[in-house]
Amino acid sequence: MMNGTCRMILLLAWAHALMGTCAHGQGTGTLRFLVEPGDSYQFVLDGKYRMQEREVKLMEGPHTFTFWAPTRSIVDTVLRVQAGTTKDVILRLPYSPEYVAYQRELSQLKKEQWLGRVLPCAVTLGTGIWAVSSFVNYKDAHDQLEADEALYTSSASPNGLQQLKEVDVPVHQEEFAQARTNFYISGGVFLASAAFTTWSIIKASKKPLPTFEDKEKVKFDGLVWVPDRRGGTWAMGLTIPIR
Amino acid sequence: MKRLLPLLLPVLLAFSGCYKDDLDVSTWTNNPFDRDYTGPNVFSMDTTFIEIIGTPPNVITRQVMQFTVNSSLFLAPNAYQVRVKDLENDQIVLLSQFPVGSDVWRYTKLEFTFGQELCLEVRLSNNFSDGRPETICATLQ
Repeated sequence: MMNGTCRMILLLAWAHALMGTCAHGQGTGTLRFLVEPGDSYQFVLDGKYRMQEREVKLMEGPHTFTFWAPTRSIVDTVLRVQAGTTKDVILRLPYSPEYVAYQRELSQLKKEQWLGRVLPCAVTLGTGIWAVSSFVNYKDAHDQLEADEALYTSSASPNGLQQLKEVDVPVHQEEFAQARTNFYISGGVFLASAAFTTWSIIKASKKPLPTFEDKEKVKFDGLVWVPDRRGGTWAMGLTIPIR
Repeated sequence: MKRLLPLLLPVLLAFSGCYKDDLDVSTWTNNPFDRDYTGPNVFSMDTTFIEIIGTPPNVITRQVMQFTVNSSLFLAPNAYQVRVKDLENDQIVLLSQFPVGSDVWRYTKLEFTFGQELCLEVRLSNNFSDGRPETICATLQ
């Protein structure tokens, strides 16, 4: 009986010692995350827990982390926690290929819109200035002919009248015809330019904007099953196009 | 189209105010100073008479031809001179107004013959150039 009791005590002492050793080996450590982007990243710990913390205290040993942030790619990594220490984890999440492609398409679209709007507008402005300038010349040429007509009425110089009729008026009529032709050409070019600009602007405004679908978010949301009181729910992702 | 209108409006307005080159100098013939003048006669003979000036023994007797310029035909009020060519001796003189400011002119001639018609070629003159010639005649009775 006594022998059995002693054996039991020894067994308990060994178990206690063993448990104490084990408990001492399962100490906790802290991981402090310095992740870019710092305001929106999330991570899944050990494939189970979805979190959005800047600092976590974990049992020592290796832990798997899956980081993600909107517009960024998922980054999987294993971090080893050392008991009693705080470790800084510096990580920059790369942009997802979809987001890079979206940005490229958006940039291309902006470039096309600039070319389709600003450039034709500038050309139209230039041709408009040309048309206005031509019109001013046209009007001046006409005013000159009117002045000639008035001079014929007021002049009392026979030689001056002859000069006016035989030289000045024909020259001014030629200048008037030239100015009128220039005005018609410049006006036509301006009209064509304005029409093209309008068409170009309408065309540019009708071109659909590229949409961004964050596939990485869908993947990330699908990583974790989040339990609730009723037993659980599936986490789903909703992608909203960024315009 | 709504965007197009503000752009096209100035051009449309400009086109709506198009000017026409309807000047035809061949129809400019109503200025009496113009050599191509086709209106009514500017000059009209008033009278001719003998004028005696001076005191004996230095007395001068001459023929006066008095004529009038119809300045109402002028398109604008203008000062002018008259160039006279005596068609009897082809002598040319440039006259000034007498009295000044009036449209009555006088041409005098020392050699004259009673009963003989004397004709003058008269033109409006300015700036050393002359207008359309007209002929006026009178007979000294």
